[in-house]
Amino acid sequence: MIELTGIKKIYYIGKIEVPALRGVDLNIDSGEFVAIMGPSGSGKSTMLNMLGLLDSPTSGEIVIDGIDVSSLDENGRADFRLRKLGFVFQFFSLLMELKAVENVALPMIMDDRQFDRAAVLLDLVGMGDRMEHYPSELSGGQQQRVAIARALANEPAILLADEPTANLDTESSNQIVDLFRELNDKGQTIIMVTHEPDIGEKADRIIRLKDGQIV
Amino acid sequence: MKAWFFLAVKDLSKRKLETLMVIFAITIGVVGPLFTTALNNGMQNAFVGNSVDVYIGHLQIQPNTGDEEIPRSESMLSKVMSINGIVGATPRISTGVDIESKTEKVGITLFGIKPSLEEKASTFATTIKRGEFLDDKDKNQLLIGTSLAEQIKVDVGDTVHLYYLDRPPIDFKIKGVISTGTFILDRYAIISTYDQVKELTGKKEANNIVIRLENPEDSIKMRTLIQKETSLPNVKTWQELSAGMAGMIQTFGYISLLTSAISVFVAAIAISLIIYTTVKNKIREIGVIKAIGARGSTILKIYLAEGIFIGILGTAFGTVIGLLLINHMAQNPIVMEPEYGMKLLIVPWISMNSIIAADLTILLTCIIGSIYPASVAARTNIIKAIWRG
Repeated sequence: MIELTGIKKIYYIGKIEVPALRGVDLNIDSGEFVAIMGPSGSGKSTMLNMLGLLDSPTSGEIVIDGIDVSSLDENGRADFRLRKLGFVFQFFSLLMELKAVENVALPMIMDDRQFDRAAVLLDLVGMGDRMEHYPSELSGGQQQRVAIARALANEPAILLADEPTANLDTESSNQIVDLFRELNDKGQTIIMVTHEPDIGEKADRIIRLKDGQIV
Repeated sequence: MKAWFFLAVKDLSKRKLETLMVIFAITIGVVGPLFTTALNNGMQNAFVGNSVDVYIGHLQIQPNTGDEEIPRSESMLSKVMSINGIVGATPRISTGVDIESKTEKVGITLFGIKPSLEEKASTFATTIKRGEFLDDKDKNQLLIGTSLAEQIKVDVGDTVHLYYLDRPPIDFKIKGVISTGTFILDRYAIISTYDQVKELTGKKEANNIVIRLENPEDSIKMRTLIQKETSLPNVKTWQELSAGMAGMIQTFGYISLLTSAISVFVAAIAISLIIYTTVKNKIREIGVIKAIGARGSTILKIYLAEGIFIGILGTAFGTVIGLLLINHMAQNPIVMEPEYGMKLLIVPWISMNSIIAADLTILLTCIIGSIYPASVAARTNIIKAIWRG
């Protein structure tokens, strides 16, 4: 389902080359729950950005569902993110001017879909009783649940989560990972970046990165 | 519902106070140009309009260069009056005289008019404040302006002596006091009948023929027609004859234009600043929206829509408030009294074209002011926005 071949990413600080990924080859199958782990600066967030089409590799090829996404233009990448990918970020990335249900409905509105499924998704993540609440009225864990519901809005092929529990207490962290587990059990492909071993252990497979390479 | 519209409405409604403040700024930006334009129009009417209606006419046939009289003026008048598009025409004759009351003796201009023709060719007959207007058959009767009447302390029914050259004085009775809103007629002239002045001066022909048109804006076209029909070259338009006053009005116009330009500039800065500040404050949210699949064009539309929405509301409020203000001023006009008894009413008014032009300019300014911050938002780098926002 996901094939990364020879992915390199080099950043430039002035004239100095800083390699973030040094030729990554990786295959992830549909329905897998994968954790990407590694120390700070190992390239795990960079790899997630590549998989999420938020950034382009310096070289290499990314194929998702048979589509060479590295060749898509800006609008093609945006459309692919909207329809095929769901994002959960480390910080609570809800839009503050939207209620919980509106935050979840947003990707559906952007894709010109009916958005009555937003309520169902909030029920799914245990936030059915907080639909009309603004993010400022929710705890960190509750906001992250709403963010997961939003990520699932357009029935994405892959759910990408970047340190989704980094800003949560232990109880909320466990609830979030348990939710991921439940979603994965229903067939959702999940790729999660984390630096917390006990969170990573709940995935089917752990990919460890060090100095921009899989070890 | 389109996502850009949904997000623009939500964003604006979340920032009600800032939105209302910018709408208020745009409202002021619209009221300013509308009101100054209307006031300028009112002043133009007061200064030029009165003069054109009573004294200058829309067109005026003047003697050929070097002459003092119009040759065959009666025949010319008939030709002019037969032309389509002319409401009326009347000959006038003038000369310098001294007027003496019981207390004063001053030099002024004596105009001879044909009262029956003036009724169509000018608004002279409507300027009577006291007494009556002249009749064609009147003998030794005259009209006097309010300011001059005050100066030489006379009123309706009083008798004055007129001195022409070194001839013996002739007694005239004041039949009416006029207030035309022009300095020349209210302060420096008296008016008698055309035949009386001809008799007094021995002149045979008119000094000018004043013409009133159905449409004053046709003055140049009608001038050409009259020149062709009468073979008289010296036909002046009201625009040419009021050029001196028009210059003064033009200065007011420049001030009005400057005020409008400042208003437009303020509107552009206000809207640009508020949207730019919003974009900067919401850079992480913009990054998130793009990350979940919004195209750059969607982000551009969100902030352009906000600018247009603010612009439309500000322009609508500004137009309503501006028109209410203009209407109030029109009901309660400014009264200027440059001379005693001479009243200039400044009644502001504005044409629909001017309103549309002002509104479209402000609206366009709002769109232009929104383009830069909206394009900054559209070009936001997702990763930088999410991590550094």
